[in-house]
Amino acid sequence: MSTYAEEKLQHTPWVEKYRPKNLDDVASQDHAVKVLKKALQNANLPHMLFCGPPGTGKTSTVLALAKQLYGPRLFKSRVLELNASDERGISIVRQKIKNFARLTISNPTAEDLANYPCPPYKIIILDEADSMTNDAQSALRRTMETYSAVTRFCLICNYITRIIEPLASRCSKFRYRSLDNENALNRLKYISEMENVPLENDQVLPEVLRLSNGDLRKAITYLQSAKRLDELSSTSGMQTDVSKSTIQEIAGVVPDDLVVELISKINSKDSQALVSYVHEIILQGWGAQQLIDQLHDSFILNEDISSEIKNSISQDLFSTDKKLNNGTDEHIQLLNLCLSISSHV
Amino acid sequence: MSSSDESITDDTEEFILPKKRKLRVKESRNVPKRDLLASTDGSSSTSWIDQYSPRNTSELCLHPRKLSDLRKVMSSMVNGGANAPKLLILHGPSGCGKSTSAKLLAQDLIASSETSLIEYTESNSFVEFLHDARYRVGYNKCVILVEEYPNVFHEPTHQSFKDSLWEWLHIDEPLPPLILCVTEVEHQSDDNHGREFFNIQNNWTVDTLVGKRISNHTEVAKVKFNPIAMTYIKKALNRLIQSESKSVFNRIPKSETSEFVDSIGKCGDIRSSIANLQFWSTMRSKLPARDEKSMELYSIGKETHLNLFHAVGKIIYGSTNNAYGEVGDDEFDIDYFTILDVLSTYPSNNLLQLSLLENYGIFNNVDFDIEQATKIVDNLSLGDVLGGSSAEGANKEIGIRGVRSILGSVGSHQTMSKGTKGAATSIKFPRHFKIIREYNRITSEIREYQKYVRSGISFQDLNLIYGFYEPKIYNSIKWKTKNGIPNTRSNYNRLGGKFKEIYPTEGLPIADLEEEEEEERLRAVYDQYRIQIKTQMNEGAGMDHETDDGGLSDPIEESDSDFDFDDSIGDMELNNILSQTKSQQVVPPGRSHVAGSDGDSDSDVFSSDEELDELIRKRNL
Amino acid sequence: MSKGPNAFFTNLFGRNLALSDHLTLLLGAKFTMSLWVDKYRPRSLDQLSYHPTITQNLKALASTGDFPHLLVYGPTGSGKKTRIYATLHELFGPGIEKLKIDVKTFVTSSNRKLEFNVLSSPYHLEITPSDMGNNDRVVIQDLLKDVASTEQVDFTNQQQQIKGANGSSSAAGSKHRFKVVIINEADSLSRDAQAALRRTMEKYSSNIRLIMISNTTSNIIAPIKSRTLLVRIPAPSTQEVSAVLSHIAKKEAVKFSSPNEPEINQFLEDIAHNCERNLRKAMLCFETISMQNESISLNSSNSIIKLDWEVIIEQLSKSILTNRTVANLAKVRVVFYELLSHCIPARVILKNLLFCLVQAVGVNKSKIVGELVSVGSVFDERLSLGQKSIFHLEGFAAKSMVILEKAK
Repeated sequence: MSTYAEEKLQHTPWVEKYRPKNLDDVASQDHAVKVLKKALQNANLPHMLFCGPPGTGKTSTVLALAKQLYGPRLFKSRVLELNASDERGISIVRQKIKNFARLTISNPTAEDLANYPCPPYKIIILDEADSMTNDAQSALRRTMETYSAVTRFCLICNYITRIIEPLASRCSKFRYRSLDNENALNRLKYISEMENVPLENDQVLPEVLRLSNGDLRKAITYLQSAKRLDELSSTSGMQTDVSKSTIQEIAGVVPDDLVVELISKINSKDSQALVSYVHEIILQGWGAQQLIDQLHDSFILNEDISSEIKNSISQDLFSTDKKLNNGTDEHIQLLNLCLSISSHV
Repeated sequence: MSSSDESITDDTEEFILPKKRKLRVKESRNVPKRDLLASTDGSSSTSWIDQYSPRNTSELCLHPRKLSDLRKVMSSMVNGGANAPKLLILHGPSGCGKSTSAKLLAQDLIASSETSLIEYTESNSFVEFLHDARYRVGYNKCVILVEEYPNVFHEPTHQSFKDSLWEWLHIDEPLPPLILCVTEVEHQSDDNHGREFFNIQNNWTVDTLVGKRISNHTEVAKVKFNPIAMTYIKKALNRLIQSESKSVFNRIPKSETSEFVDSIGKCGDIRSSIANLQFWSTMRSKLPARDEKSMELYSIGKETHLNLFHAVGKIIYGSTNNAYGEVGDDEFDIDYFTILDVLSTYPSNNLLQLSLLENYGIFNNVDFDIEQATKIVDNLSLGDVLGGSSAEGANKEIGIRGVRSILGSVGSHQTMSKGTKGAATSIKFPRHFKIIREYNRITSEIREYQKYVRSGISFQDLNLIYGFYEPKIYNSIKWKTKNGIPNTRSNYNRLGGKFKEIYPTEGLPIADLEEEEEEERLRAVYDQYRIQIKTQMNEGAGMDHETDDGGLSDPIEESDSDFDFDDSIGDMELNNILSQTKSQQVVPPGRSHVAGSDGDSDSDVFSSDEELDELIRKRNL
Repeated sequence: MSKGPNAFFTNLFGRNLALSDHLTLLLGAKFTMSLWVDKYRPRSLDQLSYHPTITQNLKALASTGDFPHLLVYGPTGSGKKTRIYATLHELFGPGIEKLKIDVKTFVTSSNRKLEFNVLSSPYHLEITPSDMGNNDRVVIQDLLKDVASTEQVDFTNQQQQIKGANGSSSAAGSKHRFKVVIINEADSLSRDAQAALRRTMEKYSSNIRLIMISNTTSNIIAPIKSRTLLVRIPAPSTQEVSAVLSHIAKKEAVKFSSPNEPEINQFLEDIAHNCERNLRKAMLCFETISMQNESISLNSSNSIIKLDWEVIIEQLSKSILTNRTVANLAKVRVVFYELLSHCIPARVILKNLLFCLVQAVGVNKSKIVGELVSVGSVFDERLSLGQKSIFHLEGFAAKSMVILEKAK
């Protein structure tokens, strides 16, 4: 069984393995980190609301903070983490939080007291708070006040607009920016060195970052998958380094030549050719959602297209994206988009 | 004493009073109850309904022609006339004198006997009751009246009820007159039933109660009772007021009494009118001053819902006549009030929209522009998207309003057709329910095939691809010779049966077991698929030794135990067995699978449990 | 082999939900009427014929101890399921083919019974969430919890058994201490269920591996995509399909009117093309053709046997093209209902009809094609938002008629 445990450790997602252990490790959110460090010193935290795009280190910050506050031993009894996939109807929020808040605070050991601030309150982390219903959020408002003496709430969300105003006003807000490339790149470099990822050239890591849109978690996951695939191919005797195309395949990104071909078909305004090429793309199994993102980049970032045309193209992109989100048929929607753009250009 | 009173109560079947039927004092002997009552008590404390129930046929609140018709039929039954039906069904809304007429006529026609009428009481087994009743002929002759029913909401009880009636119709001996009184209740307003079929659970009508097979049988006569005309009710009420004037009505101003009589007389239900009058006269002083509201209170018992077909007609043709009184010829007014009228009285939005889709074509006899039709369908489609069961206001009404406003703008060719009721006859009931039934049947067939024979292949692949190619392969001579199968026997049809066109019909569709069996028999196709499934089911069940707990709830095992697979088995028998199997399934497996493949039926199947869905949605965030 | 009656209750908002198996069927060599599509289904990775790189990667994945969650996507009939089973064969050995069906019953609050089938072997189980309707989230969570909690015990048993029987063959059993759960049609999972799955994937990652099968990745939420290894399986090319068919033709000694090899290959490629490179369909179609002819004449018109419902839709499109009246709309409705009642999904009807119309309108009419597709996309969306598909199908037919009428 011990080998099994080792094996298991070996297979921990890198995202977990390289999660910042303390606030200093958190990449490139200097402002928030500075404020939090100060709060850590006098161990008096307000309710907090973290918002920002995914993969920018919100959860990592909170977890690191909590670890530094309580130390590993106390952590379990003092911190409650509720996730979007947990039950979070009104009653559940009330019940779980109530039960947790009601528990008397266990006394820290002398050793913990010496090493950690161990403030006399508990922390409740609500991850993905913006996916809570308004009702649940309203219910939370009351709960926060009732237990404010013994608990601090950390709300984590992507979109602050989805948090109801009364709730947001009770928290100090920390806005997380998209990671700037340099910091993120350094982190990726660090990880790939630690894990011995054989990179083909210098362009690979920037490509990873580009495909993950500044989402560090995504980037690290891509890197890990790439490494795994690489190991696989080496066992089957095809030793290759991790290349740009490996990363693209992992990210499910449609290859550039295919996109270029599609755009030339769109520009040719030959509906018959377009119909059959879209059919081919679908048979190849490419995801329409992904293709739309890439078409967006190609058209909207293209300087040669007038803004008027860009305007109508982006409207097409918007409506197709919306329809796809409603679970419609990829083939029809993609064809509609292409024909429609083709009529504009 | 009648035999029904002596028979031992059968406790094995669970009898309850059918819903929607009022508990009333039993009155089965022809001893005039009034004498009993008069001797015991003062008048005011007893129910006027009992006290003033008609003593003879002349006191009946019934159109004379209807009465003479009924007398003709009943006397031929009593005297064993040549064309006498074996079963008479009296049907109509509540309180229009069905059972009272039957009882009084029985009294008239069988004067000689001591007991002129025996009644079924729901505490007895219906089968036994009918069995005993057979011998009430000759010297013993009396009318057999069934007004209460066994618990027909319990499917097996309902089946045995229908079976025993069917048996009765096929007895070749003189029979006593058997009369069924059916107080028909249709609840079209209930949105939920739109997902189900019309059956005894949601509609209490002759057809749902006895099944179309019996209802249309040649040995059965049906007499339909209409709501009692207002003049008859008023006459009866005034007669009552007259005799109660000393104790009750002298204290009430005459104008008030007559106003009240006017207001309650409309409902066409003599029983509820009398009950309301009694209640009003005794409680009047304790109630707030009469105003519109309190008047309304008394007529609650009789809400008049707009019939589906009328609602559809109104929307398609527009109506100048509605609950808000006459409106002028202004198109806008007509539309506005028509919609208001329909929406306020016909709450089942889904059913209404389906009916509109099925029927918009009848406008101007299909003669209008395709563009207009497109707008109509577009509106209905939007109405379907926006108008879920939780939709309110404009979202809910868009489909209905759209149809009216577009057809209004098209303008009718026949100016006379506005609001004519004649057009309503051609309005069809949406075939949606037939489709669902067919869908469920096919789904469960494919599911079974998937479960027992071709596991691991997706439902849609089976239906779309395998279901077509497989039979072609298996039926080919080449394949048979290659696999050593005699050329004669195996014949596969398309999985799930051939594609077939389904048309809407007039009138309400009724889920009918006999009808289904009939269909099955008509199809009478020898289908290797089904045989294969059956064989496999048997083997599967045989191999399964560990289903000690689920055995009862599992329809498959139940149906299998009495089915010995045998090559010599006749096709008819096989089909019988197959159809029985189907009927035994409490929840057709197909109904649970609809979801992902087809949004349509997903909602049909599951959204009946809105509460749960709501909860899931909330948790979903 | 069967776990026996096994019921547990979850209290959810005060409602009782019970999940239990009550019927177990053992599947075995019971069905002798095997089709070519079964007979020539590759059982192991070595037998797979096309997409060699994917096969290689899968093989490598199976050989390491670190088997990740997979999301396998690609068009229908491209061989997703076959590849997965071949991989499982590689992982666990032939035991993976000892399939049985458990019929599980799920009782919801209102006592409605929901029956669904779980196909399983000692090493894996396979579920189809669309069987579960709106309850998919709860059902899947319960099911996985059940698997995860019983697995530990099962593994020790297995190991003992294997050791007792044969020491050397224990490799497969002991190496992979997880059970595989295949989720079919993963794109039809509700968002809700997907969100729940992402948590479950982490929670039970020690003894459950998920393999999700889907036609597209568009309906899969990002967190799931990022937690799984994406495996795209494109449809085989016409040449690849024809190679498979020609292999079968040789094995089965199918007779052709001409022994000319290129001609035969052309014919087989025609079949592949007509079946839209759906290998399953192509194999069934080919078997049907060869069963109906003693010797197949290599006429390209002979290379297609259209599916009955496809023919119906094709005729429908012709009727829409030629007769654009309200009266015909009523006839069109009959056909729609006919198809719907036979469980043809509304989306399939719409899509096929749209492409039939587009094809019939033909080249050089890109404006009409554009309009038709645009209307199609609108009603396609309404199909997913609405409840009763008939409204939207008829809406599409009506609008198409108007477009065609105007273009006249």
